[in-house]
This record gives sequence, C-alpha cells and structure tokens, in this order.
Amino acid sequence: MNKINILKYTVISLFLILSSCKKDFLENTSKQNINDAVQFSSDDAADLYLNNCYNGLWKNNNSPDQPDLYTDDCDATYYWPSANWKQGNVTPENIEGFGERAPFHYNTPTSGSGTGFDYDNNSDTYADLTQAYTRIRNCNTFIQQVKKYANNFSKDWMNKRIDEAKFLRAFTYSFLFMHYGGVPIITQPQSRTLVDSSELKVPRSTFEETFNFITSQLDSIVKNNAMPVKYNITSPDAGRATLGAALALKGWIELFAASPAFNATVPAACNGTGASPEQVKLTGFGDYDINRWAKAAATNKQFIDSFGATKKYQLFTDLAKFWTEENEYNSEVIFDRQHLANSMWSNFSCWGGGPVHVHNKNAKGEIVDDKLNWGNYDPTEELIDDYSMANGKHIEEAGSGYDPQKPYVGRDPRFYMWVVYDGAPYKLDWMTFTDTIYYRINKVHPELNELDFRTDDRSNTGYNSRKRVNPKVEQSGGGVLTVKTDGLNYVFFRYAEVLLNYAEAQNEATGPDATVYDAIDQIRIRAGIPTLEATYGTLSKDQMRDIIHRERRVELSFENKRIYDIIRWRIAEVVLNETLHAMVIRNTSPSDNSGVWHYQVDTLRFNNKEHYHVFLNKMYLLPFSQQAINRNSKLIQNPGY
Amino acid sequence: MKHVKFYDLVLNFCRSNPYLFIKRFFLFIIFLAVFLLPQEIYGQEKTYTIDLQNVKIKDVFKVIEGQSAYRFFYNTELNEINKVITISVKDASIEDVLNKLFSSTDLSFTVLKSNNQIVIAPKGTTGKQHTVKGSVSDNVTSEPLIGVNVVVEGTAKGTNTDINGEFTLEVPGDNTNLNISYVGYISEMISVGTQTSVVIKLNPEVKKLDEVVVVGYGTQKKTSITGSFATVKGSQVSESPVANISNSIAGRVSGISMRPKGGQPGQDNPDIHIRGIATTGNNAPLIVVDGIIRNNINQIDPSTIESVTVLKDAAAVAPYGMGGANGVILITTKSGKSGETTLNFSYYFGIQTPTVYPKMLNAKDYMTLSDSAANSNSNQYLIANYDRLHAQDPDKYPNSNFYNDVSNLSVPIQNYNMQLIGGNEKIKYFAGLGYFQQDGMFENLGYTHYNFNLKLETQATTTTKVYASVLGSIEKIKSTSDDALWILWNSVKFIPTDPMVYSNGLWGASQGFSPEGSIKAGYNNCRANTLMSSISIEQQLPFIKGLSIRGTFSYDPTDSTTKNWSIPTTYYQFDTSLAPANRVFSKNTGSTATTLTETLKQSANYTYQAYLNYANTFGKHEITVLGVAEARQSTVSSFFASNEFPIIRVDELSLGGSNTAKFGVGGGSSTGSQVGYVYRVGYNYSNKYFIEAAGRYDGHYTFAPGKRYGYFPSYSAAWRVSEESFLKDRFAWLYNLKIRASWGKSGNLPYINGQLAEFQYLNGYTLYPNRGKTFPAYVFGNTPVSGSYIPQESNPGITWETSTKTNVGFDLGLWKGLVNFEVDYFHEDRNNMLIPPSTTVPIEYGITLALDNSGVMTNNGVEVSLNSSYKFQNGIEVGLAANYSYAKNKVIKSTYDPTGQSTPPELLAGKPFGTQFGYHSLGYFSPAEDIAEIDPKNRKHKISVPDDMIDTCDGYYVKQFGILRPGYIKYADLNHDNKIGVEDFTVIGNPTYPSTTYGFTPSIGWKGFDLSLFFQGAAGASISIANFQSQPFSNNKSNTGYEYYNNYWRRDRQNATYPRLDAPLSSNNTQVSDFWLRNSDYLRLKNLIFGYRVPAKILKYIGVKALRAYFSGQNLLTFSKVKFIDPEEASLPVFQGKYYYPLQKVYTFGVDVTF
Repeated sequence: MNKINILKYTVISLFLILSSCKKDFLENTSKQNINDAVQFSSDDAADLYLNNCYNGLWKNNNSPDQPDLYTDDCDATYYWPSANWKQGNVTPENIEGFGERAPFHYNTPTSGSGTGFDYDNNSDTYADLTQAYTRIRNCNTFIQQVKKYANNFSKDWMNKRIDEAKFLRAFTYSFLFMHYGGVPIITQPQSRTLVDSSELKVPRSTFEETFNFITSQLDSIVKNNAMPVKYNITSPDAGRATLGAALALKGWIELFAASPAFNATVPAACNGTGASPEQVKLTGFGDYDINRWAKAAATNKQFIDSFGATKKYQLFTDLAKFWTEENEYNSEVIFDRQHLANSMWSNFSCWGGGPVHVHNKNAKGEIVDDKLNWGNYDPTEELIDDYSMANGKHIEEAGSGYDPQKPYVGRDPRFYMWVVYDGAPYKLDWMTFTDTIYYRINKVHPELNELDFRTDDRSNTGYNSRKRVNPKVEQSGGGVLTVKTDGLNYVFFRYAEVLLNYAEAQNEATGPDATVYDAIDQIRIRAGIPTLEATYGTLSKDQMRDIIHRERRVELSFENKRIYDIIRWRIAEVVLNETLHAMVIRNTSPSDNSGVWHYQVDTLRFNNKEHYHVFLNKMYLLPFSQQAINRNSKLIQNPGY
Repeated sequence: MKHVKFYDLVLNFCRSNPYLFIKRFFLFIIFLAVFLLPQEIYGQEKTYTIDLQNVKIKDVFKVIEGQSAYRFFYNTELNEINKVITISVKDASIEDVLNKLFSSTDLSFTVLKSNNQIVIAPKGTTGKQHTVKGSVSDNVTSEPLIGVNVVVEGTAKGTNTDINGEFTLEVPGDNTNLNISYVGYISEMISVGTQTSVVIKLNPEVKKLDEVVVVGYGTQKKTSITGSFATVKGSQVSESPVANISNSIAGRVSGISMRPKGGQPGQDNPDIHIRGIATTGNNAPLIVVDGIIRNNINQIDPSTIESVTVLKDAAAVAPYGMGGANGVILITTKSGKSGETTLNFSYYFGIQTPTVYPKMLNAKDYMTLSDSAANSNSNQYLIANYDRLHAQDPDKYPNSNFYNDVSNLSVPIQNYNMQLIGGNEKIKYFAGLGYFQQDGMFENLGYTHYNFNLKLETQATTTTKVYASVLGSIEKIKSTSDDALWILWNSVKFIPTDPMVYSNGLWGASQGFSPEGSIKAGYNNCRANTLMSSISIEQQLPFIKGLSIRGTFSYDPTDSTTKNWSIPTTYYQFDTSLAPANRVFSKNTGSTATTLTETLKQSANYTYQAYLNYANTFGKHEITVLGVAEARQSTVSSFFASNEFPIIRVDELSLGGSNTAKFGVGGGSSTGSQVGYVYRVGYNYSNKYFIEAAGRYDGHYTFAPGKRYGYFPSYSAAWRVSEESFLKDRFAWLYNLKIRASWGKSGNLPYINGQLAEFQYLNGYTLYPNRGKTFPAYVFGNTPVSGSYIPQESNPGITWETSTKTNVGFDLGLWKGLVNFEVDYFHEDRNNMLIPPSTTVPIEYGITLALDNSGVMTNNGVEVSLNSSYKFQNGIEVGLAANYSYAKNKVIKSTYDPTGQSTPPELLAGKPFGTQFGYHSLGYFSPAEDIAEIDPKNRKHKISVPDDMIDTCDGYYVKQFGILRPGYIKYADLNHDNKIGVEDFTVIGNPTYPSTTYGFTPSIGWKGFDLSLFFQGAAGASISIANFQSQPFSNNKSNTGYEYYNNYWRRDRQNATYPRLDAPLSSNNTQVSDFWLRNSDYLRLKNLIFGYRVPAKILKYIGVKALRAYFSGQNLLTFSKVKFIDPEEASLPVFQGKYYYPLQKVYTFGVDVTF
C-alpha cells in the first residue's frame, strides 16, 4: 500500500466521519420541568397549578400561635410570638424572621417551605408579606397563563377557574389589608427581564384604593355568576371558592373598613403616632361616612336574602357537633381550608383545644397522667364572664342568678360545649370513659391538672378551650406532634358570622330595627338561650351594640375572629391595656383537701408576677419589615414605627 | 473573543454533533489499524523502492526509516556508514535492500522484526551463539541480588538470577547486549562480546529524572514537565488498611487535605480537597481513572493502583476544562509487564478499635451529678448502696453503657488479593482479584468489597497497539434500618440508670429508645455493582514520523440495589415490684409499621475519545503535540417500590400487604452530555528551556443553548538551570534545578446543595411528588388532588465558575538525586460562584430568585516536599519523605449567611470560607459580681444580698439568655446595645477544614527488615467540643461525660473548663461562642509498618520467589490538645440527632507472597 492509497482511505473515512451531523449533542431534556404550553394545555392540566394556589390558603390549624392568642380572650405560654407582641414588642426589624418571635408569624424554617408540601411542619403565618405575595403571584400567573392559552380550555371551566383565582387573590389581599392597611396592588406576575428594576417597585395603594380593589374584585365575581353559590356537600368540588365565599368576604371587608378604627378622620393607628397626611390615607379613610356601615349592611343583607333565604346557607342545628369530620362543609360553612387525615393533616388537635393533661387508665388499670396536647388556648376570666347565663342574661346583670362560688352552674349551653372548666366532664370519641378535669391547686395530689401558674404548658387561667378539637383524634401520650390523623377543616367563614355582621352594620347604620333583633335571635335560639325580646324587651342602639359585641365574642370565640374585632372596634387600646384575670381554686384545708374548694378570680400571673400587657396605638397595624422597605424604597411605613 | 472564532472555524463542520464525530473517529481508528500496514500479519512483506545516487549510507537509513517503522541501531563511530554509495532497488524486501546496501562494506546487519530494529555491526563481530554466566550484586553492599531480570537486548529471551545472584544464558552472538534490570536499581546494559562470564554491579536507584509521569490525557517525562503535579506510588497508598485511597492519600503528597466523615464501614469516605477550598460551591476534585473521567475513587481497590497523580496548577488541569478547577486526581491502575509471569498473593487481617470513644458517666456518677444539679439529696441512699444493689439485682439497678454493653470495640478487617502480571513484547496482561471485608462497631454494620480487574495490552501490528481493560467492583454496604449515627446519638446520651441489656440477654430502653432494639429493627443493605470498561486502539502513522492517533471508547455501567427493611423497634420491660424470680419480661413493640423499600438505581457513562499525538525531535528542538476530542454521555434511571407488611413479615416485596394505600412507587431518569476539545503543545530546546500551551474548549449540557461552550487555556514554562554549562560544570552537587511557572484558566460546574444545577435556564413547573398521594397539593371533596408549582425563577444566564490560577515553583535535586525538593507557590482567583443573588427585588415580586454567578473568592498557598534516601555501606538504608501544604482562601464576595442564623453575609467578606461566627465569651460570671437582690415589694430598692443571680441590680445591664448566675458564660456585647444577639456575632474560629496539612515518612531498612512510619498532621482548623461529653443533661436528662463531670465550674473550682451545672441546661451556656471552640491541630502516626522479607536462600526450598510478612498499625498515636474527641473527626455536628462514628485504630498483620 502506498501513500496515495493511505491518503485516499483517510479522506474517505474523514468524509464519513464528518457527514450526517444533525442534532445538537448537548441538548438534553429535563423531565422535571414542565413548560407553560404543557402546564396550560387542558382544563385538567391547568387545574394542577390552581390546586397549588389553594394550597396557599392559610393553614391556621397548624399554628401553635393562633390569632386568638393576641387578644384579651386568651393567654398562652410566654414563648409564642403573641406574648412578645402583647408586650408591645413589634418593630420593622422583628416583624420578619424566625428568631425574634415576630407577631403573627409562626414560622419554623424548613427546607421544604415555599414548595407547598410542608404542612406537617408548623409553618404558617397570617400576615407575612413574602408568603402573601408569593400566593398573589401564583394567582396572577394562573390568570395570565389561562388567558394566554384560552383556546385550550372549555369556556365554562375558564370562567369558573379565573373567578376562583381572583377570589384567592382577593382573599390574600384581605389579610394584608387587615394587617397593614393600604398595600401595593399587583395583578400581573412581574418580570425582571421585561421591565426595569425601578418599575418593579410598586408603591402602596391607599386604604381606600385597596378596599375598593378587594371589594370590586369580589363584586365582579358575584356578578359574573360563574361559580355556584355553594357546592353540594357530596360534590368532588366541595372546598372550592363559591359565590357565597366571595360575598361573605366582601361583606366582612366592608364591615371591617366601616368600623371606628378606619372610618374616622384620624384612623386608630394614627392616633398619637405622629402620622403624616399620607400615612392617614394609607391607614384609614381619613373621614367618617355612615354610608360605609349601610354598604356593609346591604352586602350582608344580600347574602342573607339571596343565599340564606333560599336555604343554600343556614345555621347548622347541632352546634355541639359542628367541628366534627362528619359535619364538614355543613349548611352553615361558607369557606373552609381543607384538611385530610394522613395526607394533608391538621395539627390543631395538639396545639389548641382541650386540656393539657388527662389522667388516663393504662392497660393495667393504673391512672397515668397523659399529656394529650399543648393546650395553647387558655381562655381568660374576661371571656368566660361574657358567656351569659342560660336565662340569656349576662352574669353581672340583675336577675342573672350567678353564684361566684358556683360559677359553672346554669351558664349558656355554649359554655359547656366549648370550654373546659374545673370539674368539667371530658370525653372525646376515642376515650373509653368520661374523665373529669380539675384546675385546682391541689397539694394532696399535685400534678394532676392543677392550676399552678407555672411557666409550662398547663393552663395559666383555669380554663381550656375544646372548640375545633377533632374528637376522633387519639393522640399518643407525650408525642403529640407526630399525630397525622386530624383531618378536620378550618372554617374561615360561616353563616352565623354573616348574621352578626349584618346585625352590627345595620344597628350602626340605622339602629336596632327588627331585622337586627331577628339576626341575633337566630343565633341565640340555635345556642339554646332566650331571644333578645324575651330577655330584655327593647334595647337602645348603644345597648344593642354592647349585646352584639358580646354575642359575637361568645359565638365566634376560639375562631380567630376576636383580634380583628378589637382592632376595628378600636378597643384594643382598652382591653389589652387592662389587667387580665384567671380563676384560682384552692381548698380551705390545703393539707388534706377536707375543706371546701374556694373559687377566686385573680390577676393573671406569669413567673409570679402580674402578666404584663401593653397595647400601643401603632399596633392597630403591623409595620412593614425593614427588609421590605429596603427592597422597595417606595413603601411608606405605617405610623409609629 | 478571537479564540472562539478560531474554534468556530475548526469545528464548523460538526459542532452540531461532535459526539458522532468522535464516535466515528473511534471507528476510523479501527479501520486504519486494519488497513494500514497489515503486511506482517498476513505475510505480505512490505517492499521498498529506492533510487539514490551518491549518498552516505547513513542517509539511506533515514530514507528507509521514513518508509517503514524500522529504526537503525549502530555505533556512530563506525566510519563505514559515512561511505558514499549509489543504490537502486525496486519492490525489494528489506533484506534485499540491506544486502545491496552493505555489499561493498565491512558491515553486517541483523533485522529484528519483532521490534522493528535493524542492528548494524562490523562484519565478523556477530560471532557464534555461546553461553554466558554472570553474577549480579549491589554495587554498594556487594550483596548478591536475587531475581534480577537479564534479557538479551532486542529479544524476549532472558532469565532471572538465582538465590546467589547468578545466571546462565545462551546469547546469539558476540554482538549481543544484555539488559539487566531490577526493581529499585538503575538498569544496566552490557555488551557481552566474546565473554563467557560477566560480573555486574547494579547501583541503587536514587531518583530517576527520566521518570514518566501520567498527566491529563497522556504521559510526560518528568524533566519536561512545566506544571505542578504530585505523584504517589500505588504501593504507598495501599499501605493503609482502608477500603479506598481517599482515606490514605492526604499527607502522602503535598497539596491534598481531607476531613474525615467518621469511621462507619462503607460510609467513611472523607472530603478530599486539592490546594484547600477555593469555592463556596462544589469543592470536590475531579477523579480520573485510567484516562477516563470517572467518579470512582471508592470503587478502586488500593492494591491495584500503580500510581496516583494529583494535578494542581492551571497547566495541569486546563485539559479538563469545566471539571478541573478543584484539581484532578488521576488514578492509574496496574498493567501487565513483559518478562517472567509473577503471581502475587497478599493477605492481611486486622483488628479495629475506636481511636477515642465517649466516656459517659456510670449510674452512680450520673445520679451524683443529677443530685448536684437539682440541689437535692434525693438519690443519696441509692448512690451509697448502688454497687450492692446493682450486684444483687442488675436488672432493676442497671449500670448501662453502650460501649460496654452493646457495641463491639474490637472488630475484624481483612483483605485478600491476588494479582497475575506478565507478558512479552506482543502481549502484556494483568489480572487481579480482591476481597475486602470490614465489620462495624455493632451488629448489622459492615462493608464488603470484591474487585476484579483485567487489563490487556497487545501489539496487534508493528504499528498498532490495542488496550482493553475491565475494572469491576461489587460493594455490599450493610447498615441498620435507622441511621447508625442516630442510633449512636441516642446511645451516647442513654441514661445509665435505665436498662440497656438485661442479665438474661433481652434488651431494655431509656426514654423509649432501645439501642439493641434499634439495631435489630431491620436493615438497610446496599449492593452496588460498578464496571469500568474501555477499549483503546493506538495507530502509528508511518508517513509522518512521530505521529500517532488513538481512539478510546469507554462504557461504565453501574447499578445499585438498596433494600430497606424497617420493622418496629421492640424492647422489654418488667414489673420492678416483683422479685427477680417472679419477673416476666413483657415485649414492647413500637407502633410503626413494618415496611420494605427497594430502590434500584442504574447509570451508564459513555466516553469517546479521539487522540492525535505527535512527538519529534529536530536536533536540539523537541516538539510534542496532543489533540483530543472527547464526548461524554450519561444516563441515570432509578426506581423504587415499597409496601407494608401487616401479617407475614418476610422481607420480600411480593409478600406484602394488599392495602394499596400503603403501596409506594416512584422513579425517574435523566441524561447528560459533555463535549471537549483538548490540546497541548510543548516545545523544548536542548532539554533546557520548555514552553507549553494547553487547554480545552469545553461544552456542557447544564447551560442554556448558546451559553454552553467555554474556553480554558493555560500557558507554562520551565527552565532547567542545572543544565546550563556555567552551573553544570562548576557545581557537581547540583543534580537538578528547574524553575517552573504557569498561568491559566479552568472551570467548575455550578452545584446547588450537592446537586448539579442543571436546567436552571428553563422556566418550569414541577409536579408535586407521587401524583398527590403522599404530598397532595390540596383536598377537594375529601379527596387529595395533585398539583404543580414553580420552584423559582429561571436563570437563563447560568454559567460555570472560572478559576484563574498562577503557579511558580522549582525542583531541586542535590548529590545525584540523593535529596530532592519541590517548592510551589500558587494563587487562585475564583469567579462566578453560584450564590444567592445580591440584586434584590421587592418582597412583592413573589418568587424566589435563582442563585446567580456572582461569588468571588481567592486562594493562596505554598507547598513543599522533600524526598531523600541513602544506603550505607553496611546495608542500612534510610529514607525520608516529607511534605507540607498550606492553603488559605478568602471570600471576596458572597451572599451566603455563614452561620445560618441570619448573620449578615457581609461578615464573611475578606475571611476564609467556613470561618466560624458566634459570640465572644468573656469567661464566667464570678460570685463576686453577684452583689444585690431586688426587693420584690419595691422594685427600686436594692438589698445588698447576693441572690445567685446576675442582673441589673448587680450592675450588669446586658440581656443575655434567660436567668444568669455565677459560673455562667459572659458574652461580649460588641455593639453596646445591652443585648446579646446576632449583631454581636464575630469571628470565633477558623473553618473546620485545616489550612495546613503535612506528612513525613521516615523509613529504615536492613537485611530484609523494613520499618516505616507515616506521620500526618493538620493545623488551622477550629472544632466545636460541645457535645454530650462536655454539656450536662443537654438533651432531656441525657447522660453526661466524665469530661464534664471532672471539670465543671463550682464555687471551689472557678477556673474550671466547663460552666456551672444546672438542669435543665441553661440556654445561655450552649450558645455558639468561642467558649466551645478549640484549635484542632494534630499530629498523628497514621501508619506504622514493620516488615521482614524472608531471604531468598530460604525461599528456594519452598518454591517461592519472594515473601514478606509485616505488622502495621494505623492511627496508633495522636498528639492533640483535644483529648476526649478525635481531633480529625470532631468537626462533625453532634447535636442534630447524629453522633460521630469513631475513627478507627487498626492493628494488622499481613503477608505478601510472590510465586
């Protein structure tokens, strides 16, 4: 073989090598990443993304620091953020972050947070800007993409789902509105690559603009009429947003905004906090207008007349069984956060509710002191006192029949349903016998549920709440945190609240007319106490206001409503600056319990000192975190911070 | 961007599919090998056509050399070759050509076809075949040398010396040369002539300068190297009884440091770093096995390693492009050798025992400490009588200790190895079999490793070489179903007054945890099969002298099966009120279900390489050129299935329960690809001045289209000063002095949390795992539904880290290489590290921003190594190898929170990565500081009575953590805000990784005895000593160590090591602070070997060529200020539900036999 032959072969071979080069060798497919076109290719595919938007609904049940703990209704152990907030410790620096016990944030840093499937952890917040705007962006993305790929969807589906996303967005904004006042309103997913970085900084809308945005969004949803009023209880869609949810939210936000804290020349948060005129506009309307009450009354009336009268929504008769899995999504429930045992479980049965300790019998029949949950709901004597007597009268009213040494005799039936008190019989579905719970300072048999004013997890007040506790859930003694069997939903809105909203707004707008009496009476009758007429006859507007406020406090107790009430009524500065009280029960012969058990209302204590509370006017609203301000120079801070 | 254009031109043809190009190139090589010069194989002799007039004979040689693979060998002093002749032949055989050529001369020739040599000698000197007898001995000691290879030059004919160092050999003629070679000696070539008896004295090898070193994509002569390399022999790294060399390489050569991850069998792979850490991203070096990028350092049996080369500077790593910035470890496995076949068998057996293990309190001391904490005397009676009670009823009054009761502190380790090495000029082979087995500290732990290797090298034609290699590994890692480190964590804190193991052998529990129960609660066994196979063909291209091409294809499949069998933990209880005789032990079974999960992972890597090599010498000019095109592809797939076993508990998936809700299944797959074009061009003049350019144009699928290719060039130069005549002639002691310098760029792929950050450029939705079954997105109508989410904003601009490295150094050899130094200084700038974005968007933006390439770091250091050995006249041989490496990095720009505690990332700027931050402690509060007590009735009025509390009444206004008492730690309030918080964080210690690593190995040998000591040390790291041993009752009444018990603060012992005792432990005293940090500097005798080589005189009676027996000890001695924990290991976290598995001290005995 000579050189020429070699060259010939070489050239032919190289030609073969170099030919047929088509695909890019470095092109690999990522199967983990689904692109827009696939994600929004059909109704079912797009539903997957909206499901994640629903996942963004607040998981109040999974927080140990329920918003009720921020009020005069409850006292909890010292280490929760609420205890920090109640001492006036709220600043732009501590509002965000894990270590500093920021108010309305209970957040355990977890690697999975943000991806949506971390509900077994205790990650939840009520007012976190980062989480709220992530949820808003998700809804914005959904609306934008569905419109972009409109041809891929059925019209019916599209109308309904866009309204659902709009509702979820308005719902998120409503929490921001209640905690911050006016906030930046963003209705499109922002993009760094499309706009200049300065355009990403959106200033706060005023209180009124934010209010108008939320209510007009909800209004358009109701008018659009794409969603059902309420799903059938057996529907596979039960749990989705409905017209009922949209209208109830609208009625509530209108009531909230019409209230004295905001419907005023000087909004509550601006009183004595050196607010600028700009801040006034961000934190309230800056004037008083009685028509705001009328508007709220009208919306709630609309609900009662169009949804209530048609029996789509009505009060659920068996109040004692309201918070059970059998009665989820009952006729009274307007909107609730879904939970399901073992896959999307609730932690509430270990955080909240009933007694901390039950002395249980073990297999050998011995009594053992079993810790069943952390008992974070310690109702104050102030709340307990607002539970009227069975005869409908308040304990301080003449003829109530209240005996301070028999304080738990003859009370409003709701007291026995929802409160665990000294001597209360206690039996959950799984318990084999009915236990009796004591909150006594017992020197003879210490350790068994005695009220000790100590710093541990036992009740600090002599009471616990049992509302919303799932009676089916059996916790393992001690290891309560790992329980995953609680599937009870968290109710955001129920029809009773709409009735209370209406009564309050109507009383303020026009005074106590018959419809006001009727709304309150529906609740009293269902609770099993006499009507207002039977108890009091006629009432003045002011008397009616007191009764509505009290009725609201009791009916909606332990449902995380009180915090927004004491804020909008502008009474937080009163009730949270007063000494709170507990029930102390001692035996007159402590060494052998041979005497009588003496009931005494005493100052709430912590570490043997009076439990210190303070409420400053700035606390009517939260501060924007320093980080939020640093990252958006257009944000104006709330007054006083 | 000129270079990109250049490459565009070159690659224009096929850049769209270089993979196909390289694959076809491989086929092309095969094609060439078959077609080119196959004459010898098929008997078709090559023919020559030469027509030359008036030329010198030696010029004709060149012409023939140009047309063939033949090389002429002759004595240049032969005048006859300069004779001018005329020659004309057509299609003649080589013999015909030569006959004609020498017809008019007194020269004769011999054609050695096997190795393409033509030997020219004066006529008549070829002589007759005759027998030569000879003896070989050591030139220094005159000891006869046994087993020396004596080979007739140019043939495979040869023999070995016998036990007297003597040989007898038939030589073909008087013109014969003998090649004498022996391991450890400089080879000699002698001319036999007519002699019938020769005496040969071999000189011990000192340090060969013409050594060949494995470098990236090839080999290079050590003299011509311009970059920074370190080489360690396989025999050295396999001295330690470890499963993989990761554990034994640090300290052996300069530039490598490591941090162990504990001693758990099969899971003891440490983090290795080359030249320290230069990035906040992935800092692992690239591993290359036999020329293929393979991350298989753990699968290679140390005893099959021929050599390990560590590539350190830019000149060395640039050929690895985006993979090279963290340094490269090249592992070369053993190959066959021509010569006599040897069969080697080696075996060792060892006993492992922890270097240090926690000494926890016994029951009495635990109660004593507990009483002191509670300030009561509740256990006085018990304590006084505990020994008696324990002796009477050990089950009711236990004295539990995990290390005494459950774990086994002396467990075996063993290794068998067989190697067959042999070959001739045509074919060389290596075959190896290995078995390694190691037990763990407790049941259900262990590691077994089988290795099988086969390597073949064939001279297929005179110009074609074929290499084939299969490296196989089967690993079995046995582990407990629960994490073994979690079991250790619980076992160390086990309360000693609770029963661990009863006298009847059943086991108990403390606080619901049972060590024995957990160990027996199933298993987690992994079996991994790895195959590294490759075939490679090298073809000389005779039409250009010195040019060869080579194609390599490698296929590395791996599969692993993990079986996790998790059964409920059981333990036993009894009614303590009953007398021992009446006791019934009741079983307590955990509430969890029995589950079996089987996971199968499969992956395959394909590598295609096309090489072009050129090397030639033109007088004093030498040129080498290397070009490689490389394509790599990977596929990964995994699959798992699980079920619960409510009834029949047999660990087979198909026997599980039928509840479909308990079924689990999942899986996934992915592919990856990379393509690179490597070049290296070297030039040297007169072996004195060297310059080299090397680099890689590299593309990787991780990045967005259009952003996938990067160029990584390097330039280097060296000057062998010692070759300059003005030095060489004047200073005889100066054997070698070479000055080196290099500069270049290399890359590092971006990683996030240990995962390659692939496809970050895509904006995408991720599905909730398991289609909503385990992780539903939401629930509608009480039915879980699945969902999808966008995890983060995409990063279309993601790119690789770039590293710019500069290196200067020199090699110095003195007294004929008796002492050799190598010194290097390096500086590295690392850019484009993936860090949390510093560009901020408003919180309202609503989506997590992707990390971006904006981190900057620098890294500096010095490396020194020294080698020396000397053999005295009396036969005593001493040696010393020592090395020292120092690397210190500095973070210039990073947005990482260095502590994970919301510490401002700016703190890290200008400091080494991994610098530890925390509070600065000012020692203890003293009782003298406790002055006053507050009057509870009138808060303003003070009473000057100490109240055992340090607070504002005592004039201490700083808010620390909870109530403060004398004997508690006082922290510095650095920002003077009267509050200790993250704002007071300051530097409290160095990183947990050492900045300095050094090693030295003195050795001595005499008359068959050898002793070598390998010391290794590290410095510059800080470790936390806070753990169960040093903090009392730190986790729910946990047991405490004697370390604390003997050294805690009391009013009568105020200068104690540890703070005051309290229970529960005050959070004030467990804060991250310099109080708990210690310098972890250590020096450790990593390995001691004492061996004896049985004299050949004895061996000849048992038919064995060589036999050596040895004792070795690992981690025998440690010098460190920290005594109660292993200073190498203590940087691991112990308060996160894991406790470190002790590093092991190993005593081994072994034998090596060669047949």
